[in-house]
Amino acid sequence: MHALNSEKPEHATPRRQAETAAPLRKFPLILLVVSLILFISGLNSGEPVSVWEKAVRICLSCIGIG
Amino acid sequence: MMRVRRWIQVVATFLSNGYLMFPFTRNIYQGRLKSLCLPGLNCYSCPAATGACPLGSLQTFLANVRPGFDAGKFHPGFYVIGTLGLIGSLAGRMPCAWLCPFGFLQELIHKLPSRKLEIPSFVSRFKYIFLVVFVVFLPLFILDPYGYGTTWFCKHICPAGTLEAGLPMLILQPSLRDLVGVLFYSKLTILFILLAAMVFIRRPFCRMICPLGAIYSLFNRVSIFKMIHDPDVCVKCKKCYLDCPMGVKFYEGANQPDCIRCLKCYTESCHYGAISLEFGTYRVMPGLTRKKDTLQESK
Repeated sequence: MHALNSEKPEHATPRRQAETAAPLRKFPLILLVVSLILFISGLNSGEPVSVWEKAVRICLSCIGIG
Repeated sequence: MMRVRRWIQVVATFLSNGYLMFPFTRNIYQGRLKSLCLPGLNCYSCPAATGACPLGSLQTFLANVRPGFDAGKFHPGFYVIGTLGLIGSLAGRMPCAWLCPFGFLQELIHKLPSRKLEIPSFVSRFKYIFLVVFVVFLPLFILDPYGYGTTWFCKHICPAGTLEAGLPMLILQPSLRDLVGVLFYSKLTILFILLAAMVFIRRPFCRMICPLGAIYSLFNRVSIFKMIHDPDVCVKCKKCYLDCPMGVKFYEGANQPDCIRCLKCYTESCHYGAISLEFGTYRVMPGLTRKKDTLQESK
């Protein structure tokens, strides 16, 4: 069970938490942009049609008989 | 919050499998929505499925990339990779907890009363082997005489395919029963072993096997949505670990690869405000200040 009566350190502020999270903030945005570029290039090259063609047929491999 | 999550899981499962005409058509849904990749593991040959399985689609692209290239069409699966990248870079492994029908099934089965067991932590690395070998390497490099690969994970392992597509389609289309052989029974055995394991172990498929979870887990530390752990406030009571549906030791650090961001530790387990949420540069709910009053009231 919880030790609810234990002391909390005074120096543990939300600001301190924010400082620890700061260094990786640009990378997620770069990753998001790269993913968006891949997604759009896939859309432009007609890949959704390939996905659809596969998905509307019964996949014998998925069922385990093909 | 966990009740909200449960409802979202129900709605997501229904939306992923919302084609309810299948008992009459005796076939799978064939509408335009099938060109969309779903965020969770949901077999596109499930008679009720309304979207495409991202893992099956990715394997198909990789299996057909060489003959496609020879025919002048370069389709390496950027659409699927981009979809997974967008979801992953926004939320990391969050879809596993909130949107995946197979993850939902595992949580429900684990509620059956029984002795609960824990697996060694190194076993959770096996899913990366499944990802690299069965989803990428084998479809890409093991080719038939015509240059086509096959969807190895779907064909030999995927229990979601056996459960959601194999068994229902054999009921709906009796002609398929003549094709049942060793492969089907081996997949059925995998399914039953996993179903049994789900009773005793928390989300065994997600933790040990799921290649989709393995892909999302790569984004956990770098996604825009993040969880923050404050070691100065944490008393290491291990309540987060005991409550976690994935057996993650959150007190050892936030955003671990197996964390599916169900937020149970944040909303229910931690009474010390050691956990907070962050979206980009915006602190969504700072744990310390939010829990302070609750803590004082309990004293």
